Amino acid sequence: MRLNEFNNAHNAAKRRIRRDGLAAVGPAEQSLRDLLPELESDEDRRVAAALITRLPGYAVPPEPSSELMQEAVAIEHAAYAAPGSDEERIAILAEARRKIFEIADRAPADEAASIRGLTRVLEHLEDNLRDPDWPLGRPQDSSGH
Amino acid sequence: MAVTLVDRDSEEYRRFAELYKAARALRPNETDLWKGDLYATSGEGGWGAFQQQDGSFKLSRELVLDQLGPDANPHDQVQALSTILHETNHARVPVDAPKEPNAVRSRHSKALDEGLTEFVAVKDVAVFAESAGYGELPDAKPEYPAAYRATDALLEYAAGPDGKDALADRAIDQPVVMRWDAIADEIVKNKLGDVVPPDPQHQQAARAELINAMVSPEWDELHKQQPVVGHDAARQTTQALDNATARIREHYAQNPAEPCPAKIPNFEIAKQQAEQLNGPQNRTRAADVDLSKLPPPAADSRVDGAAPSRTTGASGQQAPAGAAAPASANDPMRFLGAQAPAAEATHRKPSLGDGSRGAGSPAGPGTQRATPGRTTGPIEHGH
Repeated sequence: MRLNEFNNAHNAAKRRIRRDGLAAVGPAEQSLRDLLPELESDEDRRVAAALITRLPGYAVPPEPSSELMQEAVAIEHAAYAAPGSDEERIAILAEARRKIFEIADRAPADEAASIRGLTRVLEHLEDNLRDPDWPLGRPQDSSGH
Repeated sequence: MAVTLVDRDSEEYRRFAELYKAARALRPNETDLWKGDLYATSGEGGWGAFQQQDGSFKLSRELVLDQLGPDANPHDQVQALSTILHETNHARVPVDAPKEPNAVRSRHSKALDEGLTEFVAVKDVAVFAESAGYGELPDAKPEYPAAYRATDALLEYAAGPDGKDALADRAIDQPVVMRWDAIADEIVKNKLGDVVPPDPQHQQAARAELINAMVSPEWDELHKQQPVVGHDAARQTTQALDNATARIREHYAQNPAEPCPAKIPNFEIAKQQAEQLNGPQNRTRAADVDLSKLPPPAADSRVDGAAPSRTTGASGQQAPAGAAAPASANDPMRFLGAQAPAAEATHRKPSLGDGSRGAGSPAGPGTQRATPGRTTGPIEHGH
């Protein structure tokens, strides 16, 4: 078993624990431990064992999002969905990224990084709009359908 | 803003190169588009990117490169490592597959690419950090960008909550324009396995019908004529997929021997084949051509290795071979020229012509996995 496959099993267990709480931790730990012999190297087993030890922490519900995070998410979602020409959308996305960075500057350190992280995809979508090679194989102004 | 080329002998470069190696070890394959240059930006206010044009990385010094050392805030480290994972995943597959009928060569594929790449970065960052020597880092706040959410919903529709991560792994192994095909394959297997025959021609046509349903205005965030304000992209996409699934079922109830009459997603191939069927004086609108009425792509139009990257540009795309003689719609071989042989399901080289499960697996399960190099010692812990 590749480490990446184990990681998927770990992520599925993490989701189950977040949904079902503490009762799901024991069975999840056992089922993941059962996979350890199938991994390809001792280093993979070390990494996998470290991930297993973190499972109880996922039974604690995450804190609700702060107002700053909610504000940043709303800006991100609106910019993603906003219509317009390429030039208009470039401006919308750039402005959204600027606003989200400003919000992050007002947030505590443990939240600021996640708020800034919301802009990673927006930045790429903005870059894609500047990419003269897209769309491929059809005129730039075609409908895309 | 300043952009500087990072010295390959520097500690900053060495640390990034080690992380790049560790990121690739999580999902090894034969395609590595990084040519070795690393640029650092400063004062730009962005994370940076892998640059397809010259095969270099351009990363923010403040947000990424300076957040990888032992003194960095662990929350910033998580975002820096997520960025490296995200960008590394942009550097391991070609963008285009111009000769594949089910390739979606519009900006829809860029939208899915960003959502899928972020989805994979988020799901892998903890194991990546542990593998690279950072130990346990705090989870990022569980709030995600819109492209991530839309991708998550699509993957879950196709594969269910416990299968979506593995589907993401299969999809991200495909060229950017072929990710829809991998997701469509999962839907065919999970929701239409009882009606669509295993015959490759039927499978490809069913995938095409589903791809056309997925590639809707909601996914084209750049669409000018049909604004998507207020739309719930995920809900609209799954409704379109439900409708397409119903159409495929209805088709097989009436014509079980015929492939679903799906339009060809790859505009260029649809256009070429329409011209072959109708002649240059009587061109059919390409979007109206369906797969069941078309001849196969020429045998030499198969993509056997890495497809050309986008560096060829739209105007430089190699057209599918136009010399193929039209074949009868009843010719059972007419699609096989574009279909990967079954043997490639376990072949090490990604098969660009077949998004079906396992076709893009870089090494097959349980084989060929490289482990991160440790010759220069572990990367500094971020605690």
